[in-house]
Amino acid sequence: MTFRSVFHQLFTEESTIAWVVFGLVALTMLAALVLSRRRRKRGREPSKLMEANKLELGYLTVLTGVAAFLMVSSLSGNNKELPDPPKPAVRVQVTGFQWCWRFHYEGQPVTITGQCRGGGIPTLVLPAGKVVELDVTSIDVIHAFWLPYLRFKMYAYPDHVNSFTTTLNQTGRWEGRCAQICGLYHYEMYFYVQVVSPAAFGQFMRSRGGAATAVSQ
Amino acid sequence: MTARPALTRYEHRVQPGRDGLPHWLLTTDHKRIGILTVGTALVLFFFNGAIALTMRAQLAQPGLDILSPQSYLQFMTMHGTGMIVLTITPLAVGMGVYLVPLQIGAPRIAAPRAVLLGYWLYVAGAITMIWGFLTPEGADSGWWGYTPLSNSVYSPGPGESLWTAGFFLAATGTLIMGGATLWTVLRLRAPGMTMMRLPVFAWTQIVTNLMVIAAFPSLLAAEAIAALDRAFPGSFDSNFWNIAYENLFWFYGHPVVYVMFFPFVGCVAEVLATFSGRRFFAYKGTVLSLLVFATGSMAVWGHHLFASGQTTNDYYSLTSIFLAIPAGIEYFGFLGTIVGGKIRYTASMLFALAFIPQFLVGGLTGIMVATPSIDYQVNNSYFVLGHFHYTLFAGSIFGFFAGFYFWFPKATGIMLRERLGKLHFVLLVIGTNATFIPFFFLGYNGLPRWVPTYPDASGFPTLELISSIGAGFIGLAMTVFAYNIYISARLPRPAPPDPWGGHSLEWATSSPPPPYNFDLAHPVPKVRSYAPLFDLREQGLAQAAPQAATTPQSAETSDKRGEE
Amino acid sequence: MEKLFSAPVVVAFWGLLNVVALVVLAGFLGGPFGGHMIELYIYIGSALLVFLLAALVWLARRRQPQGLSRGLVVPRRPASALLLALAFMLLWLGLAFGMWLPIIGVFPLVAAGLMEWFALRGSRKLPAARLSLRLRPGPGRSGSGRSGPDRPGLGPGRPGPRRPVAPAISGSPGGSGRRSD
Repeated sequence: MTFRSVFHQLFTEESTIAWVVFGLVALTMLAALVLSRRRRKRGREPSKLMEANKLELGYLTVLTGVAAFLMVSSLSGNNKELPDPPKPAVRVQVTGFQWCWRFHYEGQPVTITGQCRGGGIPTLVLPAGKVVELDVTSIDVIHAFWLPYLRFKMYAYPDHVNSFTTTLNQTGRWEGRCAQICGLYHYEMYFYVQVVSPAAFGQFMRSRGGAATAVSQ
Repeated sequence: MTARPALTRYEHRVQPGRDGLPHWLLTTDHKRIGILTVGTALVLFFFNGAIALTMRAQLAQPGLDILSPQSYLQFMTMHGTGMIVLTITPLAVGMGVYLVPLQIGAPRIAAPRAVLLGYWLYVAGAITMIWGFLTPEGADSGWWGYTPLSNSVYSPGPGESLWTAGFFLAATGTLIMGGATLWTVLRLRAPGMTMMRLPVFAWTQIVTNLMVIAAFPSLLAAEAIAALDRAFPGSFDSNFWNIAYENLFWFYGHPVVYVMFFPFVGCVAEVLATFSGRRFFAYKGTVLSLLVFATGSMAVWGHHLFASGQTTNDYYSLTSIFLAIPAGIEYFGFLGTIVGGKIRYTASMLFALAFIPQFLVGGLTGIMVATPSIDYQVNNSYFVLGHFHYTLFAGSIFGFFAGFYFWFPKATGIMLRERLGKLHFVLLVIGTNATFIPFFFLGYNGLPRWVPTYPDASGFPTLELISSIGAGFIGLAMTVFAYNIYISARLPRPAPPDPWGGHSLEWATSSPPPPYNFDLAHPVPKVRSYAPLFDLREQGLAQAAPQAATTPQSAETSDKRGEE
Repeated sequence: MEKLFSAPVVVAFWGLLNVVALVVLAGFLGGPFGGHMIELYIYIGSALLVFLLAALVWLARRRQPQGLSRGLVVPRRPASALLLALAFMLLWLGLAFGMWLPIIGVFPLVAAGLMEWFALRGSRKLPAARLSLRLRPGPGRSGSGRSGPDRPGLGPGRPGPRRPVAPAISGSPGGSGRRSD
């Protein structure tokens, strides 16, 4: 399962629960206001009841059940996304710096970078349908590699490498952003991810001085 | 005595003690220190709010030039740090300093000079931090101040140092005030006031200050490391220390948001009970859930680091989702109280009622960001901004206003204008929701935090514009609030000891209370439950004759029974 | 049940809840996301602070079952608080502006220390002032029912029969004999 599908499954699940809970609380509040109005009209006193232990315990049980369900969902979703990584077909070292990105295809003499400001936005080209590993790091402060299309981000630390693998099945081009405050031009630290067919990827690599068969099988 | 004419036998200056600046600035009366703390924090609330309004003006449309990118980063750093460290935490702790000794029937707070020291450290922190803000290269690393961005290599100059210094000073000050309040409620309760007879607000202060003791030292350690690194660059230059800073920071950074939450839950609880005309419902469950909730809040800090790849995601997701359980029990108490009630719609009560659904939005979106698979997408985006502005502003601040309108007459001896309070409420509800609902959509559509402008795409401009218009309403609401205070002080209407029919001991003394909180004319009543005045009123009705010990209130009894 | 739920028990109970949470953390630390031991160490340190607090409360309760016995001595020389805050601020400003500020800060620090020393010395001389278990009306109280003015300690601050002692607080008979928790 991909980051996208897990995100959507969990987000839908949790939004639904959220709307139901909100609705129940809103209804209860409405009931309180209506009952109060009736009490006032009939000149009755407020309830003297101070607790309702059985109801509270029952409610606690329901709450615990819902929480347990959410916990299991969350943990299983998380473990689907970052399982033991299969051997990647392409490995890219992603380096954030103030204030742009550098993409280096490991094992190939191909590096893509830019200035970001003034229009030089680097594009990370990846093959469709292949397992890709991104090794994310930084050479100065903490940045974050965020690809909204993928529904995923990973922080880029100096003196440390964060690795994650993913498989992008659809071709297309999507914009990525930096998602950790890193100084003055944090807001212009864009990049693109372009997913192309494996054949086109091989052509791209060759044109940049790398091997045409850059995708290991 | 000043030359001001007294309209009634109640003095309507702030305190019947000696007047004059030295007697306020060097006071050891917890009531005065509480008023100073809340007053200072309210002034800073307006200051940090003005900063927010400027940011909202800049963000109303893409490509505006109201704030340069550098200024914007300084503004947002000041807004976040200022609101958390210099405003809402002091409001939370300051209300405890004022109310706890009164609610427990004590004549004073524990360690009064330490509390005074705490206040002045808070003021020192505020001055230092604002000084940094006004420096050209002021702190611009956000309120987290992560290394290495905040170190002297990437943020040179005095600005960031002043931020670090101000943070440390203010946090130390609030730590001392909170610690003294906690000691007070643990050790100085009046006879008969057992732990299980404490009002809900006092219990919220207990758990708040337990977290202050347990978590604030971690922040002090984090900023000490940051300071040492700024003083001796290169000393803490490795991934280990970056992660250490993050953990030390968030070990404080999460509990602090609950420090900024529980006291206002207490405000809401007291207000809901009083204006429903009944005791707070399910007290025991509420007390237990407060303790569990506070524990939970200590155990979740890593959820701020889900996308860091260097923390125990599964554990923090578990503990963060767990928080829904004690939160749900709290809501059982709130809803149970109003369902059986005969509600009086005072301004205070309106704020307390609005808290319930509004905080819930924050809580439910909190479950979403507690799920790593969702957080990988929305972390550090506007979605998280929406989540915590709902919990802190739509939740806690509304709870604060509920408490402020409730206790202002007690503290000052002056009534606030009800109509203006209701206008404040209506404008604030509109403004709050209009400002922060768009944040969820902005974040979902991929807009990150900390950006002075944004591309004209994905519906960003429209959503940001709606948000900025909403912020204008908030500004309007707060102007009405300020005017209410001004006009109420200018043309005062004196407050009786118990204008609302309150349940806890502070309502048994005068408004404002005498220097030692209670005296012969206002003795501490008999405490038999967590709502002693409610008990006495009930008993008085049953016996058809007021008791001697309740003589000061019985005159008000007939007033309270009626409509507001 | 209520007797069991005393102040030190509440604090220790809360500490125990946190221990449960941190034991679970320890269990997870081996897991797929690693995390760092530093998380556990910070949490352990915090739990120790909480238990320390519980112990302090328990000790204080043993020494003085009635928390208010030291009660109503008017705090002396509160100006030391302001001076101490100033000293601390100057110390920290040194981070931004250089060492000369903390050096200046030594003066208010010493002054505050001296004031504190004199304040403690003064209160030690008067054991009688500390008792007052039963909070009786002091002498020289005004007829309006309010106690004397809030003394900021700016004056000589000499103890004596004119020093305000709080009037009776508890209106219920036999109140002071009962333990409060």
